[in-house]
Amino acid sequence: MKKCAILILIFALLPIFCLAASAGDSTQNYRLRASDKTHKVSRNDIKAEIRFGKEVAARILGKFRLYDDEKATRYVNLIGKGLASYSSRPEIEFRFAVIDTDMINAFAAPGGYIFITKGTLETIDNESQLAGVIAHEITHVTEKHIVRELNIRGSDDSALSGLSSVLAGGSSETMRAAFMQMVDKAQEILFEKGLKKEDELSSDRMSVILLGNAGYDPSAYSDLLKKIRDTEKEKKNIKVVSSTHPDFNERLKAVSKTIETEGLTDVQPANTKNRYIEYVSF
Amino acid sequence: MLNKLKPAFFLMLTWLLIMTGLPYSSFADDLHYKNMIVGDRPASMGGAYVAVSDTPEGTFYNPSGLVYSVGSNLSVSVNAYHNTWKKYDNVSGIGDYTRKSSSIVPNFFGVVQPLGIGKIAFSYAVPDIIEEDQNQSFTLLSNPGKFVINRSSIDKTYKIGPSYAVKLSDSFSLGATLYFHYREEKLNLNQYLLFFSNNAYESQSEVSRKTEYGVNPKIGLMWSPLDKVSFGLTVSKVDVFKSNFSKQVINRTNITNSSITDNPEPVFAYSKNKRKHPISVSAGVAYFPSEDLLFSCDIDYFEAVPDENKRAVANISIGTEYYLSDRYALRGGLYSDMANSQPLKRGYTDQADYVNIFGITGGITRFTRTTSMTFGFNYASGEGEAQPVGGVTDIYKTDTRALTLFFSGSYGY
Repeated sequence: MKKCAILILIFALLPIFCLAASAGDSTQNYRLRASDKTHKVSRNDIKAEIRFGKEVAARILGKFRLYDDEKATRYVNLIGKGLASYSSRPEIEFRFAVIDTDMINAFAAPGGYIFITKGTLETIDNESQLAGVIAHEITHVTEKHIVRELNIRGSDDSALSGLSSVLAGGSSETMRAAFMQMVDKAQEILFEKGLKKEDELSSDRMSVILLGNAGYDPSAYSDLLKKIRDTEKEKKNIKVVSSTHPDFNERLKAVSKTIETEGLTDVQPANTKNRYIEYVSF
Repeated sequence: MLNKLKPAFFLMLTWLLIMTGLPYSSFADDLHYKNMIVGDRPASMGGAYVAVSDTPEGTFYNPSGLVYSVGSNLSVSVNAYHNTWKKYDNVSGIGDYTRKSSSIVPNFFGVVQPLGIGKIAFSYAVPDIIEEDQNQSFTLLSNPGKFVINRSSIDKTYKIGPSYAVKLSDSFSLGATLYFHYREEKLNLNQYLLFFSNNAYESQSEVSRKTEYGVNPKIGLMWSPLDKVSFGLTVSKVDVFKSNFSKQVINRTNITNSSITDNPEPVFAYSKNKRKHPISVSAGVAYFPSEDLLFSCDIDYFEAVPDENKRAVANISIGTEYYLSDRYALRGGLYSDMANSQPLKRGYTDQADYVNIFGITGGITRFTRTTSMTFGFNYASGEGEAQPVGGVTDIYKTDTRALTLFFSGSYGY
């Protein structure tokens, strides 16, 4: 009886633990050991990332059609390639596409496959805002947010690795199954759960810097976030980016702080509104 | 047939009685809870793993830690060479009584994968395996003769089953393991006593087997209230739902007033009594000061089981892990394995051995991008008291030593 009472007490306290357990490192990254961190990226890692990204991109295209507007697609690719040339990963060939959905969102698959929705293009006013969206997605790839989340890496061809894999029971069939599981997981991250809040905020900050480096108006990104926030309030029937991203006010605060600390308040970029209207029309 | 025996040899003859008289469970090391440390990383760290548990071994130590495993899929396999040596000093004045055990066994295998909102795992663990042999011959001097004992015993425990863990909040996780528990014990014992002067003899041959089937649920919690610190708690219990015991004994003697009855036909005994196991509660804390260093400490508490004459026990273990580089890590640990039997009382007979054991562990691991290999050791020793001779109040000193060498591999993909 006494033992039952103790067990019941432990499990009755569980909800209290859950509510109280708000402190501490939410990511528990402190558990990562020196061997877990990728210090040196190999060619096999990049190949694995591109192969994985291709599979994820195929899933995205399986879910949405491509938007049938060659002019707009070419325009998006030109802007994207221009921004990508300022990125920190020259080994990745970035590719951009517009998908035919009213959803306001954009997706970045590892390996440089970036998708922007028609709904996003309809919301945007000028080229700087478009560049902001593309820059945000580019930084998800350059910072390897999904790659790190799912621990995607290339194989090791050493004899020790082969012996370890035999000892621990890894086979090619198992690896294939594991690969498809990770693609499912990536899809879940992109369409349902979203990336970690700190990764999204990091991409916001870095995209503002990328905009400044490429000669675009960094404040256009803030304008776009405000516009999307307002659109979400007005058009409740349209699925908006906030379902997979952090709160807008928090993002706006972080972007504003970055513009100030990086000295981007005095940037005088060109007005790109007319060019945007010329290439993107609905 | 002789019809008279000198009192001095009555003691010898009672030896033949003890092996049938003592409870069967005393032949295996049922008197400790930490006979083998399961897993690769935990085995190198003294078993202090309740607050770490972020590898497949978490299924055994604290399933809630599985949610923190790195990578989507992991597989760990450990193969161990386990060797024990037990000695009872100068029993009845004729010599040291020695038992040795040695076995090579796959000690752990586990796989973790994401499933739904959490992680699912499947594992197989062998927390205890003893294969003891005793082959000794003693010369009797005062009344010339000899006593020969050949004893072979096996005691193996296996656990296999699934686990699942979920994050309840950013710093709190919950997990459970449901093991199927199987234990098998076998004993083969032959004893022979011969007096040269008149060819008087006594011999006994015994074969017995016990199997035990049950379930072993484990529930674990992990809480991280501070940066780089983690607390873990696991509650576990074995419930036996089926048990079978059978024994066959053949006694032969040509001594008229012997304590055993001459019978060429085997005598059988059966039982379905189920062994009672204690509830165990393990609490641990781990501190991760950097990516190169880890400290952990566990306390394992096992409640008393009066029906099995077992007292409450608390064991402590501490472990550390240090990365020499991103390719090599060193691990070490210390632990206690206290006896769950009662301390021996003077003036009583047939008491179970009482030996408190202390151990030291160590290991080195080599990492590649997706795999690791570990070589490690676990050495334990202890001294205590025992009554290997049944029916008498004599208490003898005993010491025990065990060495386990293990070799393991893990694969992440």
